[in-house]
Amino acid sequence: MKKSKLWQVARKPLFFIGFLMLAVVVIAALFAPLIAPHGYAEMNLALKFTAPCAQFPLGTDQYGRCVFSRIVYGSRIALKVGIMAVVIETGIGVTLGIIAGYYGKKLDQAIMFLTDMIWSIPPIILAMAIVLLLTPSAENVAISVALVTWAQFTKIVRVKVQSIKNLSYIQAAKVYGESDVQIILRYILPNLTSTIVILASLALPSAILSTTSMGFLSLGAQEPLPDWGMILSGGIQFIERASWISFWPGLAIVWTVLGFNLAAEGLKELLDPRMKV
Amino acid sequence: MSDMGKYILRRLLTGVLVVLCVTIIIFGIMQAMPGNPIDLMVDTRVSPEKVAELKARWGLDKPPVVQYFYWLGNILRGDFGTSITTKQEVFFLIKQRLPYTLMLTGAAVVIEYLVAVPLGLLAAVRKEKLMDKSLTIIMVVLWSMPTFWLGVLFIMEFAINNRFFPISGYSGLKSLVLPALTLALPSLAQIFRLTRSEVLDVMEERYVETAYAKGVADKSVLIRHVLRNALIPVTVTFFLNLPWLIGGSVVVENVFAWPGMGQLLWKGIAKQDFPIVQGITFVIAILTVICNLIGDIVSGILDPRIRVE
Repeated sequence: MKKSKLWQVARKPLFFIGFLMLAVVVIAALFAPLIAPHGYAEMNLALKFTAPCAQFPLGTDQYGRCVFSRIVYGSRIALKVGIMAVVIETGIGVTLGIIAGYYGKKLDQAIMFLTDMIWSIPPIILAMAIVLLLTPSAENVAISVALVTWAQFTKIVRVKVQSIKNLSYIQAAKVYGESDVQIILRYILPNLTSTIVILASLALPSAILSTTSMGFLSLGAQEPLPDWGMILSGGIQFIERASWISFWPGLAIVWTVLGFNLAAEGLKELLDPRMKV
Repeated sequence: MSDMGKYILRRLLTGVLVVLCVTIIIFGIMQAMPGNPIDLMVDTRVSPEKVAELKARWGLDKPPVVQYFYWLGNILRGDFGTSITTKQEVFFLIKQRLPYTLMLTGAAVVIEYLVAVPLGLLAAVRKEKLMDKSLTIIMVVLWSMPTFWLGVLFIMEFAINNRFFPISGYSGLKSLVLPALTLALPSLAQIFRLTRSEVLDVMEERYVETAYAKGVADKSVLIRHVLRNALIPVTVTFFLNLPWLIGGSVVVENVFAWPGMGQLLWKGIAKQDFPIVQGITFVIAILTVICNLIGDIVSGILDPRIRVE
């Protein structure tokens, strides 16, 4: 990677802004105990529904818990679950994409049929059904979101592998008797790196949206853990009295997702500007 | 048979196959669930004979494969079973709520296209200009918004600060405005992007250059040549988009207490009411397959190259 190009992209204002936005979230997640004035589960029923003030910067909820502290700690859950979902979906999607593209024929048809099928149930509904099976928790949300979103990786990786596998040096490796696994790991995978990085970085913001939606439906981390989506949904019934309970966690989600979206666009610009996703 | 007929038949068969596989997935998930639906449905006062009778009716005394066909047969006859919590017929519950979900998603998809297509065209025509850049930024922001937060903002501004619309529930068409906007706005960014890039692609085609070279007025080139061709993929996504919106409506319905299927599904999941979850997932899968099928057929009609693929 040429330094000048990196510099060019880094100077793009939107990429830069996205990066700064993410830095805030990562700092909040890393240093949550230092930043949050209160514990995320610290209740004080006498102070419930306190409007934002010096002691509680973003007010308190129906149990008198500090909304700001809950949001700060919640960044850990949002990042962890989002990243976990993307790692799993990348693993499944890339593996199946390589198998489909490399071996072709029946295996390819079977895998393509599987992706069509996954796509014929709206993702969030299938994910809900899977969480119901696995019981609601942060980790299971990550798993279920991954299980319904890997197909986008498969489709793109498959096409890419189909074009790579006929390159002369890969054909030569075959003639030399290298095994399929060796060829895939040594020659095909390195060719896919930038595609995978771009796809994964674009998948991360949508994974955070999906996982917080599951949290909103109370299928994610359970009380008293501060899941952003769940804090928001818990506040809706008190919205006329204490709109801050729902407003701020939502803003935290938009902030994080927007940051990831802008950063991902920049990354794509840097690695492969012409790639269509 | 004509090309088109063969094409439609092929897509239809694939659709049926997909529905069958989906039923296997749904059935599999529910099978793997702990507890027996009948034991959950009845309390201890029900006599063992009655339980056995119920099990026989549902085929629950048979091996799983047989059970699957029992279940499939029942579902195809419209017998989705009885809700564990409310004891009502699931078919009846879904029939009651389906129109509201369709109303919400229908309104949302219309808003999406009415807003996104003209804006996409505008951005493409003003490529790299201020208009294009600001629209693109607005769309990234919308795309990054969870529907449930947008819904909260709308409620705060248009139902509480200004009492223009009801906060929640359904009480006439006025209630539709906020949920439909909430569902439509975040996802219209995709259609905007697609329209913009398709228009830009078509504008580079030879026949467009020729039309310009022949001195055809800008406006009529845009409408007759560019828009007409660019809208083919955009029209196809109209149908592919519907299932997405139906999925999204699960969340939006819960923000606004909208009396649709999504809310029913969520309650069913919270209370582990399996027949409801099964029934709704099945209905939604059928709707999705139908939408995809219509999308395939429309694209086959609009673009003859697709049929022979």
